[in-house]
Amino acid sequence: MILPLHEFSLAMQLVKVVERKANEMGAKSIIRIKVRVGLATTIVPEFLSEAFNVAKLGTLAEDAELEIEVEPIKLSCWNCGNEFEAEGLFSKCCLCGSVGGKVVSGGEVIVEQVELKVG
Amino acid sequence: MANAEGQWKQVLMLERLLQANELIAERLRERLTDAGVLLINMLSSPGSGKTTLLEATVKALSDKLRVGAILGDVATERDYERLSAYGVPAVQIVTGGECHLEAAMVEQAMHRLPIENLSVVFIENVGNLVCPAEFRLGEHFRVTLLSVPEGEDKVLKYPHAFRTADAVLITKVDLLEHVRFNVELAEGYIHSLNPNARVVKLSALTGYGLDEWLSLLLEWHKDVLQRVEL
Repeated sequence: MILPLHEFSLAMQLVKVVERKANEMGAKSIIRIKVRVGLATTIVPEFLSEAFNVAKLGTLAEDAELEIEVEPIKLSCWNCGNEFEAEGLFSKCCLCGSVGGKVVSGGEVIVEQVELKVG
Repeated sequence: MANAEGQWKQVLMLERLLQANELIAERLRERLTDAGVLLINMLSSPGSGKTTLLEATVKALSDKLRVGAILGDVATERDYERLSAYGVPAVQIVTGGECHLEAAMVEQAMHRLPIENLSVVFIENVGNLVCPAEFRLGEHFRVTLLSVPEGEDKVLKYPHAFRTADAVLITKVDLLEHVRFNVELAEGYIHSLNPNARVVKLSALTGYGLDEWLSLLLEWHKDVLQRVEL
């Protein structure tokens, strides 16, 4: 298997973030992690999943399941301000037809929730 | 809550994955602002002319701004040697395979630069238009280079590096007559992603556009100095 480097370093970061939380809560292990990946980022959800399966080895997240919710891109049209769901960053505004807009959602990767084994 | 395997707990986090990097970046930017040092993060594909542009910039600016550089590369210290030859205090970060720089690496490298004697520090990010776009390095301004042999559709293929740029430098314009590159289209694509991006056409070889680039740097440096007074 070829590991995409970019997602691998993000997967390592993800493990670090959830392990910190698990330690804070005195958890024995991490059961499930829920992450929201915006489509207006450079992260490919499938690659993040694959990378996570390697990055988690030997950590509190070793048996954790990663659930990725893909967040669509929402743009605010540069021209008329209309907010619209877009397929990509060069999509046309559905009202005025001009290309592109400010990313109002889908531009981030958020660690939403963890499920921890505590007892 | 409990199930057959014991106690478990759901914890809401709502934390940005790159939050740790962003905190370090913010800390670094504040430190440089206080010191009156402009920090610029340069993104581009490999071979788009970052180091050559830096050489030309240093030559032209030496009497106006004191320049330092942090150079990120997967391997070798070639760029370091090229810039040191111009007397530029430079620190090379060899990432050993990592495809981008992170704020912590830059913060560490900054300790090796005499920032009290500098007015601008350029970060030459690893040549790559994908991952570096996600990582803020504490820069006041981000510059993305696009060399004309790459073609204007690079903007379509790698939008993130252009979406987040304060300025896009179209480099190697001396090659325009030899390659297919539609400048107008490129500018249109860039402005669809980011209407506020400054677009500067440059040739480090002939000097074309260099004045515009240098005055942009002076304007940015002034902007940082004004932030100190606030």
